[in-house]
Amino acid sequence: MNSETATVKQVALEKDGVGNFSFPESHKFDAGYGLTKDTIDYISKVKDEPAWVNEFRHKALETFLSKPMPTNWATKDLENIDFDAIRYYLSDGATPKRSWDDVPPEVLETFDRLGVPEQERAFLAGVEAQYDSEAAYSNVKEALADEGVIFVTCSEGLKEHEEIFRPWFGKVIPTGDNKFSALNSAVMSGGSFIYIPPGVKVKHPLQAYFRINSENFGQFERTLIIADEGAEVMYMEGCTAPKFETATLHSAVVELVAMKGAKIQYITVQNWSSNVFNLVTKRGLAHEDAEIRWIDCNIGSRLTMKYPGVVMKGERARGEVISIALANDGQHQDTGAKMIHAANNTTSNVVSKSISVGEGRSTYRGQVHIPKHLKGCKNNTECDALLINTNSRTDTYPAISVKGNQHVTQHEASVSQVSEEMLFYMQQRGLSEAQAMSLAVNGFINDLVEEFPMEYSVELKRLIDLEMEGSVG
Amino acid sequence: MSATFASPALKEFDGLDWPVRTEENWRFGSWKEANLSGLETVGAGTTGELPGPLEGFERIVFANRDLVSGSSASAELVDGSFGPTSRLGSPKLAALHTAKSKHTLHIRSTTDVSLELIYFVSGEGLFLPGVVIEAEAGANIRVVKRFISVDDSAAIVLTATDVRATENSKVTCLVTQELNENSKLIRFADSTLQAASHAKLAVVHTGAKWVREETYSTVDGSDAKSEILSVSLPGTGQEYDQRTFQHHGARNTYSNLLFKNTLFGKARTIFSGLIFVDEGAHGTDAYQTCRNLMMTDECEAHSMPGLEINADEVKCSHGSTCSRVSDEEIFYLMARGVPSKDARSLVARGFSVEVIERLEDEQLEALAMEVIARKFATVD
Repeated sequence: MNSETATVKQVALEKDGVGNFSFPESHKFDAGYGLTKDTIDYISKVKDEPAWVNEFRHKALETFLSKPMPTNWATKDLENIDFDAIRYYLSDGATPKRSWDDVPPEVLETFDRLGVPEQERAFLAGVEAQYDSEAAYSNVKEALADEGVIFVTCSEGLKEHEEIFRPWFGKVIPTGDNKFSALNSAVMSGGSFIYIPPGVKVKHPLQAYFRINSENFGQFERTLIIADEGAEVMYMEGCTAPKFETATLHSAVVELVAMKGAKIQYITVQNWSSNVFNLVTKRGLAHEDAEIRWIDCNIGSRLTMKYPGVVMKGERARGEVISIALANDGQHQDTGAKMIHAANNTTSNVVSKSISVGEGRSTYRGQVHIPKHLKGCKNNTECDALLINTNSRTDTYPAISVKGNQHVTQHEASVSQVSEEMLFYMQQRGLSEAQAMSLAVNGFINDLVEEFPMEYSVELKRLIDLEMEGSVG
Repeated sequence: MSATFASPALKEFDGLDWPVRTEENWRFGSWKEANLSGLETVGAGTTGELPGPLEGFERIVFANRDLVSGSSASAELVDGSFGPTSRLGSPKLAALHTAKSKHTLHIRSTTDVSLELIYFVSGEGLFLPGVVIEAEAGANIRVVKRFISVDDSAAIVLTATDVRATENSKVTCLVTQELNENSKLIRFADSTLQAASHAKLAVVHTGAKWVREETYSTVDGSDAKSEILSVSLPGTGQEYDQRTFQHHGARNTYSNLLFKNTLFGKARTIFSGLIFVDEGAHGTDAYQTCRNLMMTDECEAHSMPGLEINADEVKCSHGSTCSRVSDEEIFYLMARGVPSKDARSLVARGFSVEVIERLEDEQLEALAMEVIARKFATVD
């Protein structure tokens, strides 16, 4: 601890001389506003990273700067991101203590209604810097370590487990995949590295609460999960309670590698506050007989752009995306799925349900790709959208490319609203209009909610009730 | 045409860019094919062998840009292009039509009228036919439009149609594209439907090496009904790129799109469709289906069905499928003595029939099936 503090002081001094970085106390890190080569060197230095990582970051920065914004197909809202007004790195120590007075009353009310424990509340509201997960999960961690499971932060992973980490890092999602994956590669910090040894089936879902950050700090988590032959793991991120966040940009990269016969399930519940740009790249690589499932639920944020993908590289590999999106006033949930079939007899399934409330807009964007000379690939895509109010909006833009006649693909999408009869029937039996609407919406997504672990699905239902409130009548 | 009309259009044309790869409307498309720079308009053409007459139809025959025979009280040849617009990625090509097209065939009627337009295409160069169909209240207009190559030269047909259906009118239009496989076809098919009008716009593609078709249907009055139909049968060396837009701008409107592609050899198809429902266009019923039947292991189909819904109380859906003739169907037919090759062809033909039947017009259905059968005879 002492030596770390010393290094920190040293860095701080050097930086003071060079640039306009400012950090009031010596043990706190702040890379300042804007993104330059210095920012990257600063992050590398603070994190004490090997040279190859620093080089990787620099290359990524060049890629980021050279790539245009994808506004030729995406929403123009992206142009409102001011990359110079964002602080790209702050360590935990620099998190200012926020007082309860700063937390908006509606967030507090939501905590009450969802029944979030007192300690978690403080963490979620940003009043407390770090949720004390160590105590709660130490037993689980011990059991995992006995089986050879590695579950560490990403920076620990790249330093201490380089031999496993490096061969797969940046391989599933190359830096140049898109502008935001390049941004993440340049300034990544936080996130998890998980390795499951061959044949190990992790019984409990692994869970990581995000670290909370200070104002205007974009989060750039980088997660890499490798399940070796025959291993199984379920990973959960996020939580149903709203994250009170004044940060405006969140851009994570998540890479999954499922070796022969492995299974990975990745569950996300995203409920950022409605000022956040959530631009995330997620992709899995499934080898022979492996299975990757993305279960994704987007409720919060101003703009979410997230299209989890699976590259089915080995024969009989399977990919699945199950997604629920709820867009309320001022929100745009631009989500979807990417299924790349790269071997024979691979199958993929996409089920997406979205609900647009008030002036909310939900979008499904999908890609299914079956290249030449393959046999027996199958894809099924279903998108259902529910519109609640007169000015709600929904879009669907899938793209399906098939070469050859040995495959079967089908895509279907529908848009509907809660039928008058259904509401009338329920109101006849004593429910208020809002209750009836809420019940109907929960019914619409019920079969997907069941895919979530129990405690999540309970919270999810309550959350949807909450979001639906005041949307009718 | 007088230079005063053409010059602003030429100016606009010069100011626009040819399509580029990054344009969303050209995704998966062969944007380079659309670059027609330096091409001159085609000269006088020759006529080919006239197909058998359609009973009750008035026939008008063109050889390239020149009217060869036929006339109708409801059709008038007007100087210059009617000025098509492209809202699906090819404004440069639309401007080219406006600048260079010699004349527009203006069809206008208040009663029943049946017209057959035959365009014989010959020689190399740019051919820019244009048709406006104006159905006034109570009219029932049927139009057959056939593009037939006379020789093997690489013709470029850049054609535009605008269907304007006023209240309580009906328009049925069948376009058959039977060009040789060296030619290109670029087609703008616009339609605007007012209250209680009904339009059925169908196209059958069998020829050409490259087709780009932009169909834009605006359903602008309540109880209007727009049906858009297409059958494509491309083989090796043929690429069909079809973009569609179903725009609902009023309450209680209906549109239904059904596209079926049967792909042989190394054929390539691209379908991109969008159902767009304006704010306040409640009670919209809109459907869109694109089905690809893959006959070989080397063909390639891209589908991008899309929805943009800005109003509630709507019923909208789209579906897209890709598959081959199922083994069970082949087995069933073979068990009844049909050879495997014939069985496949039979199933494939049945696949197209579903689209053609929607025309609900025996004469047009028979013509469409004849064109389809001719293509089937040339592919295996």
